[in-house]
Amino acid sequence: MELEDLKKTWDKISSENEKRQLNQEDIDTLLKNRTLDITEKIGRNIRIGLIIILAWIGLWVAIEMRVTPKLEKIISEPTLSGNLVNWMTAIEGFTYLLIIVAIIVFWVNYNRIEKQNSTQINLKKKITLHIRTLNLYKTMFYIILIIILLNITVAFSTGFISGFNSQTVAQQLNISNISFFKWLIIGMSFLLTLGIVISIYYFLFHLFFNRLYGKYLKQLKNTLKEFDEVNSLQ
Amino acid sequence: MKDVFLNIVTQNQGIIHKVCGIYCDTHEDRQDLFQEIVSQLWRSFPTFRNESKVSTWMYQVSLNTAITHFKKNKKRPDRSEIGKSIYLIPDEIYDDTFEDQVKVLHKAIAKLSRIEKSIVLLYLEDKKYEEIAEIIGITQNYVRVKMNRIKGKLKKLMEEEA
Repeated sequence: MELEDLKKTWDKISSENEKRQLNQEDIDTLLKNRTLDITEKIGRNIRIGLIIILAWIGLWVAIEMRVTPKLEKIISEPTLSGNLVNWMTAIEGFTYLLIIVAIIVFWVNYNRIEKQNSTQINLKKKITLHIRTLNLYKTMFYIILIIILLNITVAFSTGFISGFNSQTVAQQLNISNISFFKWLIIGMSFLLTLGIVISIYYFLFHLFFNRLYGKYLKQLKNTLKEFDEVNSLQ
Repeated sequence: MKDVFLNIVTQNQGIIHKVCGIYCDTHEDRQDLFQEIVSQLWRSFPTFRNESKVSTWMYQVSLNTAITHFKKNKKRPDRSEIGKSIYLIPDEIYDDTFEDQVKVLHKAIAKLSRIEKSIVLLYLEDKKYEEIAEIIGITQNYVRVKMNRIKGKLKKLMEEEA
């Protein structure tokens, strides 16, 4: 089969396909039932993320203000000292604040890119803008992941130290009598458990993002690379 | 404004069908892409001011959408449709030889990159290098070089298929 045969085949299919026409009503229905494209979906996800985090913070504030004081009255011997509780609350509040700031910053940047993207007709610029939106989303994803991991680390460390303190008090142990080897075992088990928890979270987030957009992002980058061949050809 | 838009798209919908045919393997994918192209055309319609030809604008938006189209990860694409149904070949022109030619055409085009597919489509539509360059947003020189490479690639692919 030669190129000319290929062209003839194409013409034959095209001329027959011309006869298969949708009418204006069909096209209008398609337009009315339209779904969001990828960048619009990312915008929607950022908005949903912000709503979820605000709802979560609302719940957290409600628990801190209403439930925690009542629990403190019920539990006669608190396992955590007052300073530790305040410290944890402050860190948790700070991480939530960081997440909100991150989402707002990304939302502003997303809108800036999307404004250019919606009217963009140049293919190379359009691909570049798509890549920028996805990279922005990816960065937001990882920054929030880091903040969450920081939060987990703080909560885990606090719980570990608190548990260790209460055990030493309950068993009337003198910390200075604990041997170096035992300290090493305690330290290693702490780091190992923390490492496993952080790795699982990181792996799951990473897998989730790559499964969703990894292949697509790679495809766009390859297409852009193909465009850049222009420079080498001229 | 919507009536004008619907009229333009209805009259020139062949462009969208061809773009969908060249970029999609399955009927479902073609429908998705067709809908997305119509929606992108509607989004960019307010900025279309008859500075370029309607067909040029439609090719630009359709190809931009097809090239940046996000396909959800599915299990292996169903390629069993290749042949009669992929390009909606009517019964009156359908025969085994023609089916073979369509298969070769589809298989050869499927192995091209996204940019190459757009250039081939416009070439098959008898567009001049100048217009291809305008639609894709590249230089004529690039189109010329790229087209020569694609022709070689297609010839090789078709020989392999034959």
